[in-house]
Formats: sequence, C-alpha cells, structure tokens
Amino acid sequence: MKKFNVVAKSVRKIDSLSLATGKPMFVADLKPADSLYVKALWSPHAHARIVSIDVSEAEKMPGVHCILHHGNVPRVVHTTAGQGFPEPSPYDSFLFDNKVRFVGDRVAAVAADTPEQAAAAVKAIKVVYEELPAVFTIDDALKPGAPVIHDEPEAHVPIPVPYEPQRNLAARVAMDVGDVEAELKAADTMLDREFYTDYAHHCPIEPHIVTAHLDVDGRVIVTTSTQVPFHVRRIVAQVLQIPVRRIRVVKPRIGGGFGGKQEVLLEPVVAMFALRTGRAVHWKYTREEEFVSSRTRHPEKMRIRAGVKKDGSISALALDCCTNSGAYGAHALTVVCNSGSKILPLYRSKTIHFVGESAYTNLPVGGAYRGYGATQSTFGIDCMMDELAEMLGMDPLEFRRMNTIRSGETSPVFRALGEGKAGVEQSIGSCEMEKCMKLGAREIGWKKRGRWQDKKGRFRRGIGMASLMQGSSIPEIDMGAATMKMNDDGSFNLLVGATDIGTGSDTILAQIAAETVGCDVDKLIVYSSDTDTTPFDVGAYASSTTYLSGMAVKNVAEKVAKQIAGVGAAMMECKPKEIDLRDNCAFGPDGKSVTFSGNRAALALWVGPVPNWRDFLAYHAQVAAAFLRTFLRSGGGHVDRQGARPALCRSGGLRHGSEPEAGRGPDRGRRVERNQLCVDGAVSLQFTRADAQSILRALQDHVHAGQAGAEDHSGPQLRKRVARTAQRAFPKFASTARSPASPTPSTMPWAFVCAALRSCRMPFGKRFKNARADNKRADAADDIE
Amino acid sequence: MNIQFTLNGKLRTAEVEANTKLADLLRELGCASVKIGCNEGACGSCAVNVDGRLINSCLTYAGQVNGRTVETVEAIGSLDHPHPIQDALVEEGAIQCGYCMPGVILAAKALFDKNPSPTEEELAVALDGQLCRCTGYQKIESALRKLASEARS
Ligand code: FES
Ligand code: FES
Repeated sequence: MKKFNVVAKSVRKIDSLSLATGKPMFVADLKPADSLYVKALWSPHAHARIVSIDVSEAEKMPGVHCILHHGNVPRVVHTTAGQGFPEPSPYDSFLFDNKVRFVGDRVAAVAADTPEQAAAAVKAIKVVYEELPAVFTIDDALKPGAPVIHDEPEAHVPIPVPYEPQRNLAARVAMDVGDVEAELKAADTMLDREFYTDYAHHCPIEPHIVTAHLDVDGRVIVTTSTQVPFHVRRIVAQVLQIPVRRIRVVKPRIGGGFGGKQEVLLEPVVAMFALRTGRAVHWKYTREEEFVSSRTRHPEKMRIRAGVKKDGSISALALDCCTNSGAYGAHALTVVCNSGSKILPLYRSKTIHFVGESAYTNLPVGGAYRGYGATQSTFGIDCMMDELAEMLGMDPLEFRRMNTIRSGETSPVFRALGEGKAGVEQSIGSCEMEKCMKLGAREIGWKKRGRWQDKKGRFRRGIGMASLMQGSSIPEIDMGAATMKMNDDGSFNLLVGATDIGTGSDTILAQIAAETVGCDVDKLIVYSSDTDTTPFDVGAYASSTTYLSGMAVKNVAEKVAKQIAGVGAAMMECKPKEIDLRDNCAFGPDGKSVTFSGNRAALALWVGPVPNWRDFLAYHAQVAAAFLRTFLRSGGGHVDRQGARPALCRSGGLRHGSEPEAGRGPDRGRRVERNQLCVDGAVSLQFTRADAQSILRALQDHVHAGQAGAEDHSGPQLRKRVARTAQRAFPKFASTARSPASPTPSTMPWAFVCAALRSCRMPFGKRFKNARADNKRADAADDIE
Repeated sequence: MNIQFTLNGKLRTAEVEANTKLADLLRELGCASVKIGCNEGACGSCAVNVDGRLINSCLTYAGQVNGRTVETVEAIGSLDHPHPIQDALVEEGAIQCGYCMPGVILAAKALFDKNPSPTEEELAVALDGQLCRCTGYQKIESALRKLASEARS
C-alpha cells in the first residue's frame, strides 16, 4: 500500500479550536444587529382550505414590517427537497398556499422588529378555514374515495416517474427479477412478515436558522444553516422568480444536519422578506417548530416474504413497502427507492421482488434522514435473516455469511433501481464483509452466544448482529468541484463547494490536497460552500463528500502539483517528472531541493522563464463514479458494559421523535410533544422523564434476560414486569412479540432489546450508574456466558 | 431594571427587562459562545458558570445574576492559549459540529475546578445535562478521562 504522509493520519480538525473557544461561526452569531425577526402562523388543522385571511389588524401592530401569505406572494409550484435538478421529488409545495395539509403547515409569516412583536402580530392574523376530511394512515390514504390531499392542478413530477396525487400516491417504484411467487411456493421454508418503523426527528442541536440581507447592489445574501447551499440558491431563485445571479448563499459553520437540512424550507421566506423590506431578516425555528414543521424520517410499513432452501440459500426475497410521506412528497421517491436498492443487493437471491410506494397523509412531512430509507428496510430484512436462520436451525452469522454478496459479484438490483430512473450496472469492487464478520464475531465472543433456550438464571446476556449496506453518491448525477491556488508563502487556498456541517469534510479535503502537493495540512486554507466564490457541489448528503468532493480535490491538487513540479524542474534544471514533492519542498533527482517558501529562492516566489506557471491555480470538477460501501455493525447488538454505547450515537438527542396522534378527538393529526425517544427507524418509546429511570431499570433487566425476552423462562414476576414495561414503552413491538401469529421465539424480543437500548438516550450520569449497577448484578450471576 | 455583574472578569452593567433571559443578554453582550439549542433547559448548549456553578442560561433571568460572577467560554481560553480542557477535546477529535461544545467545556471546567482528577462517575454526572447529537459522547469522555488521569499522575 502507498505510504501516506498526511492522509490516513490523525490530524486536528481544522476548525475545532475555533469552535472550542466559542468564536462567532454560526448563523445566529452572524446576523446583522438590526435584523427583523420572523414568526410564522402554523395551521391548527390537519386538512383545510383557507377561505379568507385578514392581516389588516396585524399589519398595524407595533414593529411589524411585512406579512406574507398566499394572497401576496407568487404561486410557484416546487419541491423543498434539496436534490439534484431536475428533482426526483414531486412539485407539490408553494411558498404559501390557500390550503393547509397538516397541523403545523405554514399559513402566513410576519417580520417585525422583535420576535415578541412578530409573535403578537401572528396572533392578530384572522383566518377562516373550511375544514376538510383528513387521513393519517398509509392504508386510509390509499383507499379508494380517500380525501385527496393534493388536488391542486399544478402538482406534477418534473421527471417521468409514477405519480398519482388523485389517489394520494406520492411515489412508486417497482422491480422484479425472476418469478418470486413460484420460488416462494417451491421453497423449503417460507416466511411472511410485516414490520413497521416509526417517525424520528433529526434533532440537530442547532435548529433550522436563516438570515438574509441585501448587499449594496441589491443582491440577496442568504446565510443559512444548510447541507445544500447550491440547491438553496436554485430553489430560492425558482420560488421568488428572480435570477440565480441575484442570490448568494453562504454556509457558515453548521450545528448538525443529519438530513434535516437537505431541505429548502425557510430560505425562500426569509429572502422574500429581505427583498420586500430591504432589511436584514432573521428566522430561527424554536425546538417545537423544529419537530413539527421541519422534516422527519418517513415511517415505513413493509411486508417481507422470503423463501429458503434446506441448504440455507435464499431462493426468493420479496419486499413490499410503503412510506408515510406526510403532507408533501419531499424525497418521497428516492427514500422508498433506497429502501430497496440499498438493502436488497446485500443478499444473493435467485428471485427478487420489490415494490416501494409512498402515500400522502395529513401528517408532518418526511424527508432525508441519515440512512435515507435503507434504515427502515434494514430493520425488517435483518430481523427476517435472524428468523430464517432460526427456522433452518442455522447460526445467523453463518446464514448471513453464506448469502451475502461478495467481491466481484453484481446484483440485478443495481441496474434496476436508480434514483428516479434506471440504475447503473455496478459490481462490488472490494468487499470485506466476510472478514468483517469474522473479526466482529471474534471480538464480541460470538462463540459464547449459545442457544437462548439453554440460558438460565435471572440475569442473562445476549449477543446479536446486524449487517447492512449503504451506497454513497448517486452515479452519473452527483458532482463536486474544487479550486486551488498557491500563495507567495507556499500556502494554498482550497475552495470547495463541499459542505462541512460538522462532519469534518474541510479537514479531510485539506488532508487530501496536502498529501497530493506534498505539504503540511496547516498550509491549506479551506473555504467551503459560498455560491459566489466556491465551485458547485451537490452538498453534504449521501455520505459522499470524502469520495466525491475528495476526488475533485485530489484531481485539482494533481494539476497544481504538476505546475509546481514544472517550476521546480526549471529552477533545478531537470525534467518535471523527476521532481518529487514532499515536506513542502520540490526534490530534484540529484538530492537538490527547493522549498515552496521560506527564502528568496523559494519556488512560490520564483520568477523564471517559464510562461504561465506562476499562477499555480487549477480548477477541477468531478462527476461521481459509483461507490458502494458494505459494512457490518457487529457491535450494535452486544449488550455489555460497552455494548449499548456505540449504538447510542445515532439516536442520541433531545426528545428524539414525536408521533402524530392519528384520528382521536379534536386534536387528531397534531404531533404530540411528549418526552418520547425514538430509535433510528425502529420503535418509539413514550414516557415522561419522571418515568425514565424506572423504565430503564426494567429495560435493563429485560436486557439481561438476553434473548429470552418476553418468552423468558425465568421467574413469572420478571416476565410480567418486563411485559408490562415493554407494553407501555413499546406498544407496537410488545404486541408483535406476543402475537400468536408471529411465533418468533428469540429474534423479535432480541431486536426489541437492541432497539430499546439504542433508543435509551438517558442523561449521562444516570445511564452510567444504572449500567454499572446492573453490570455488577449481571457479573454476580453465574450464567453470563 | 438595572443590573451589575462580573462577566468574564469585567464588571458590566445592563438595563434589562424582568423577563430578559440571561442567554439573550449574554449574546447581546457579545458572547457568541452561548448557544441556544432548545431554549427550554433540555440540551445544555447555553450553559454558563455563575459563581462557579453550571446553570442553563436559557432558563435563568438576567436579573438573577445581579451582583454575581458569570463565566463563558470566551474567558477560559483563546486560540493561542487554549484551556487544557479545550486542548484535550481538540486533540481527541471530540469536536464535530461544535455547537454543544461551549456547554460541554464549561460543564467540565466547573467540575475540574473543584476536582482536578474526577472519577469516571463524577465526570458522567457532571456532563449529565449536556446533549451532543454528533459525537456519541465517547470521544468527549475519553478526552476528559485522559485529562483527569494526567492530573492524578
Ligand atoms: S438552550 Fe438552554 S438548555 Fe438548551
Ligand atoms: S459536536 Fe455537534 S452537537 Fe456536539
């Protein structure tokens, strides 16, 4: 392997000390002092037509500068999804509409001198609604005769994909390989299961926040907490009907996104206010608005059928799933498509069937969220794998190993499923899944796992595994670009469109550039994501920045390195290809060298007879190749002193999910704000903070009961207590686990426990103490192994 | 009402309303390190030290600090002379988006000031109220653990 000097080494994250010293780096820190503040009027109804809206009184209130509503803004249909153009999401949204489609939909917005004045004016807006029947579940939404959520004539898809708003179908994608039904019949063992995953919210610690002002030329400068600055510029131009050149989008430091900020929601409103008032305008969501009126992970309902042969090979795999898109179709198609394309290829199966649909309902809106659809179906498919192994009497690890795709292989799914079009033929270039499983099994002590039925005693420990696959970058669609120039002192400016949202991409890209031109990483001055000065990049999504933008940086740095070598060669009178760049120097063939800077003879300042080389400037754009990552989360299910911890990182956060309460009382459709924690795409817990400690205790007992779960063989007392807690905390799951129709002795409770642990984002100290105490108890029990 | 308090070593006076939150006042006075993540006491990103005790400034009225001493991250370290806690977190790679960090750093400092070599458990309790969405906490913990064990040896 190539020896690296800068990459593959640990370096200090280039912005981390500034962050640690609390420098003003976020949108809230950068807003002009005299900004106006925005507050929005949110719909109190799940589905209603706005008969009239009267802002006359509100407009007269003190401090109010401007009020926007459907009656005074252009009606431009668009999607809020920050995706490559033309977007694969339906055009079904307006800046403001004459209809509201969920509790928390935007009705009007006020800009005033202070947030309090804006809030008071919002209260003074008089709206007459005509309530319409609403739907809340996937099944109800797709029933014939269901209320139509998008009955406006403008709703359409910009690319030719299935879209039937008249029956609330926001998206549909399907594929078939071979005759699944026949293989299911012919299989030695057949399994047919349904799974459901719930809402979850991204919970970035910094909520959505935007500031906009006009510069001296009347251009709108939008400073925003976004993952997709270039998509923001395009969509703001589209919605406000002004040319792209009149907009500049700046991304400062971002307090986390996790997909939630791959959405262009607040920016057009704030930009419109800036244009109308000529003032700086600022809008920050409250934490409650963040939950209700931003985006969520799509809940998904799936039916999975699988057929296996006695020898353990999978002969049929069928996935029929439908996501609840909520009131708008942002990312509807691509998320559900990834539910198939990012998980089905992981397992070799002779026949494959996939149908993914997305239904409009009168609930908060789904969007991009880490994993992007793969998370949801991974939950179902992985539970199935455990069950299938169990039914065959096979070790689940061995069963997976046998059926997992390997290096050099391909899957028909790659070609069949793209994002809104056919996919791209791909084969697995390298895949260390087998090694990964082996290592994981060794580290975790898989051999000690044993049969759950044989475990005895009050406290038990279990080991589980999950395997999953992700893709990165969208082949032939995504792109990144970089510009690089050398300065007189041998430092380099690296301008990238790539969007560091806390991921560290600025540092990674600096490392790649430094490695390529042979300098230290601190010689790189990185500036990212400013639509005026940095080149285009799709933004921070699909885990693609290192691969995609990184390749652009590598290419641009190679061009600069070539120029440096040229000058170095001229200085040392040798051939450019004899030059070796490292340690901030150009080395010649005879051991001579010149430094990039530092003395008068340095390369960066050298004036020689070499035409055009003194620019040291290059630009490179990169269109993505296909990248596929497969990896194994072997630690995810290990319940031990450390076991619960790794999984916590993804689900941590404030009240992580909140679930709409469907169809009950006058509040139907309202998202209920409770202390509710929600697993990434698995199960949601609902409890008050006061209950948290006792539930955690019971859960940990449950955990130590290991795979026995709800069918525990130990004392009836424990069983009852666990069942009660489980039922209270996980209503859906508990009933699945107990249902006679789903005779799932070990895996369901097991998945439940993993999910539970993952979701237990207890406050630090308590979690620690409880875990410690319970581990001691577990250690005391003699049946740990 | 008029209040007077010591902010990062300097005596400050401010005219505040009865319902002005400390977090808003501090930000107005130029302390950009005071982050507001939830404005309801849940996340700890607005935490500051008042008379050496960690409090959530979004749940504190400005009037309550009259006559007291308030410390924010601005005062405890700079780019050239970072506080050992800041240095440890940077070195360990514990800072991702960094939005939660001022709170985490002040929580750690409130503890280390009293107890330079806290146990793991004491650390955990001190960081109880600080939510971080990015890191998964492991690196924050290990950075501070290292610092604590350095102090012991
Ligand atoms: S902003 Fe004060 S605790 Fe979250
Ligand atoms: S580093 Fe992002 S929230 Fe802590």
